Formats: sequence, C-alpha cells, structure tokens
Amino acid sequence: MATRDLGENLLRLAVHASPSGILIVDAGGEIVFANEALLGMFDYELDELLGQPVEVLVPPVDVELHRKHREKFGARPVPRAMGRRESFGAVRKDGEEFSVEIGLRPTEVEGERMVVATIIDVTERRRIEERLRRYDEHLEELIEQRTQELREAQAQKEQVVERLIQSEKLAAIGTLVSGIGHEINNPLYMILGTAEALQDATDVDDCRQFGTEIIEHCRKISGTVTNLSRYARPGSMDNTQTVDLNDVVEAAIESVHRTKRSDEVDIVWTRQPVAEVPGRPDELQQALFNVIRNAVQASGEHGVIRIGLEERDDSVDVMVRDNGPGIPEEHRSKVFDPFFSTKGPDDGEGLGLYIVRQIVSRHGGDIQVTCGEGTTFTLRFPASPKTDRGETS
Amino acid sequence: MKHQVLILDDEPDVRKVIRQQLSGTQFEVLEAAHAEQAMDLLRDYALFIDVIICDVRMPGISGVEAVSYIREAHPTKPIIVLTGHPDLDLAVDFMKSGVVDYIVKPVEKDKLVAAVEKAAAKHQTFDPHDV
Repeated sequence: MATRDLGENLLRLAVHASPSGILIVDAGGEIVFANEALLGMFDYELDELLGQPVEVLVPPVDVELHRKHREKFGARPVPRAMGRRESFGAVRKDGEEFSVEIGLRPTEVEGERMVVATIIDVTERRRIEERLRRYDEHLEELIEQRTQELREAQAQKEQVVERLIQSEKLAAIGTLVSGIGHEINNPLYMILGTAEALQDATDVDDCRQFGTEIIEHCRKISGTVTNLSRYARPGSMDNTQTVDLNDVVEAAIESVHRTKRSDEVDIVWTRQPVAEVPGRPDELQQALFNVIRNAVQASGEHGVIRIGLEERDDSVDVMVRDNGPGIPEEHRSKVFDPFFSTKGPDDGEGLGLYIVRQIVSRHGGDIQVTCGEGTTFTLRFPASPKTDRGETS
Repeated sequence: MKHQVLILDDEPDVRKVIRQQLSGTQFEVLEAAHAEQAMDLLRDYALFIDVIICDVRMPGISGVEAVSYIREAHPTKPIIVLTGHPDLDLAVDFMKSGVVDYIVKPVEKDKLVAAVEKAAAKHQTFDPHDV
C-alpha cells in the first residue's frame, strides 16, 4: 500500500488516541507538546505544561539528576526503547509521586533538535510486581519453614526408630539373660540338690547314681555355653565348599528321624535340581536339622512336614512347612532370639532357631517365617556364581 | 498327718531335687508338671496342701499366670516362687500379688526347708475358700 499523505489532523488524532503518554521536549528541556494520555496521567491542562521545563514532571528530589541526564542525552542522543523494566519517578500536578517507564526518541523538527518521550504509568504494575515479590518471599519462607518442620520430623522419627531399635535390643538381651539364668541355674540347682543328697548317701550305688546325674547336669550347662558362644559371634567363612542343598536336606532329615517323636510325623520331600551354594556342609546340616526338628515339635501327632527346594535368580530357597497351629503374631519377631521358647524342657533350651539364623546369616543368606496353614520357614542362600557351576546352555 | 507341699514345675529333674531336699522333713510332696494339673490337685487336696512352690518359666500357662489363678481360687494358700532367673521387677510384682517368698535357684536345702516352714506357718488352718 502506497504511503498516503495523512493530514495533520489525522496524525494529531492518532497521537492523542495513544494510551501511552507522549511528550515532546526541545533541546533546552522545555515542553513543546503533550498528548491527552500524558495530560491525564500528570493531571495537567496542555497550556499549563507548554513552555515549562520538563523537570516540572519530575519529583523534586530527582530534578538535579534528571537535568544532568537530559544534558548528557542531548550531547549524545540515541534512541532508548521502552520495556527495559527500568522505571523512574514522576510527579503529578498535586505532588503525588508515581512510577513511569520512559522511551526516548531524538528527532529534528525544522532544524531544531527535539526529543519525543513515550511515557507509561507503571504504578499498578510495580504494585503487582511488589506484591508478587512479597508473595514469592512468603512462599520461600513457607517452603523453608516446611522444610525445617520436615527435617525436624525426620530427626524425631530417626530418634524414635533408634529408641525402638535400642529397646528391641534390650528386650533381646533381656530374653538372653533370662534364658541364660534359666538354662544354667536350673541344672546348677539340680547339681546342688544331687550333691546334697550325695552327702547323706551311704549306699555306694546311690553315690554312683548321684555322681552320674551331676556329670549329666554339668554337661548340659557346658553344652548351653558352647552353643551360645559358638554361634554368638560371626565365624570365619574360610574353607567353604560347594554344597548341593539336596544332600544337606537329606542328611538333616536322616538325623531328625533319629530323634524322638519324629515317627509321629510324615516328612514329604523329593530332590530338586537346583544350583549349588558355597558353604559349610556341617553348619548347613545343623541349620536344616534345627528347622526340621522344630517343625516336628510344632506339628505333633499325624503332622505332615513338606520340604521344598527352589532356585531363584541368584539364590536357592529351602522351604520347610509344617501343619501345626502356627506361631502367634506376637511371638514371630522373637522366635530367632536366643532362649526364646514356648516349648517344654524336653524340647531344647530355645537356642535352635537362634543358631539357624546365625548360620544362615554367616552364609550371606536370609531366613523368613510366615504363617498361613501351619508355619513355613524359608531359608535363602546365595547360589555359587554360574561360572563355578560349569553351567551348560 | 504330714504337711503337703505342691510343686509346680515343668522340669521333672527340678521336681526331683525339691522332693529330695524336702525328704526327711515334716513335708510331703505332690507334683504338678503344669498349671492345669496343679489346679486339679488343689481342687482335690485343698485341705491338705499347705504350701505351693511354683516355677516361673513354663510352656503353656506361665508361672505368672499360674500364681494369679491360684491366688484367685485359693487366696490364703502360701505360694513360694522358685525361679532360675533373678528379676527384681518380677520379684516385686510377685510379692505385691501376695506371694510369700521369691527364691532364686540354685537354693540350698536348709534355705528351702526354712522358707517352706515359714510359709506353712502362715497358712491358716481354716480357709473358707478351700472347703
């Protein structure tokens, strides 16, 4: 579209219709033009501004500075665009100060240098920005406060967990001490009582019998102490062999069959092709023996014990399930504690499952107990690396 | 008739030792391996049982529960707790519940006999609950 020669009236109309204030100042800083938006913004009539120094629109405190800036700009006039987010102070006729953003455009009119200033009132924008900034600060404070609360809650939680762990440990020590007291003081009492009887005995056969009983009780104490000290500390795992758990289970079942009450239960089991595990066969057999014997004791007459082997990714599980009444919820976390027992004196001193856990743990494995129909003990052992097994595809 | 002492302990060897220690004294011994058996004997021989010696750690009904049942049914029967595990809190609880003595194994014959004699002396000759 060709440029049209718009009439002066039309241009004036456009300038006055602009929502931004437009001000034209001459080289000496006097106002030569102001549009309607500017007059409205500063609350002046046109004739009140024409011929006035532009500093009439500047707050008194900034007048000097503004004059210097204006002179500097006059020496090197370069256009300065709006929208640099840089605001200046301005003052209305009634003295009210407000913020403006100013664009400057040097120009020449009939050989005289002039500056066209475009001015917008950014008071509202500044207010919103200030509110946003405060809101931002408030949010940051809230976040900081919430983070602090979370940190404190986390620290408290850790303290509670630590206290729980400590109390669990103390409870375990309590069980241990109580067990040691029971398992040692009882046979000691029997030794004392038998020795007292020995003092009064006159018959040689009676004396021999009392002597035999004292030796038995001494052996019982010695066995308890040996069991406890043997498994209480982590043993060295040197000299491990590659073990087929099928052989271990078979040997353990054979040992269980030699104990009392084992003829009252059926032990159901078939060999399974599973990976071998690194370990000590005698210890593994002891662990399996204890678990199976425990299942026999839990099952009672006509009990059925099922033993299964299953290979997983890098481990082998041995599962021993009985059809007994199960373990009450409150006892499940304690069954592996030393001397924890709900059984009678003929069924061991309460070290069986404790020893199992110690053995499994020193083999790098894990033991779990679950109760559904009966009780299932699952012993998981890490399998030997595949290269050691000479695996074929 | 001799005084009767009821021993409640799950371990036959412990019962045997107590029997030995009380032999030759004025006391005769009745044995119970668990609380139910003790309650049966108390029901049948209430008039003749002067003292009860009770273990703490037993499978099934524990000594703590057993003492509570016996105290409820026979409040005046003296109970001596004989345990392998010395526990001050437990001892205090037992004494508060009316137990006459708390003895830790191993106990020598003289001490046990003295404790049983002392307990028997406390037993009233007539107990309305025992009739």
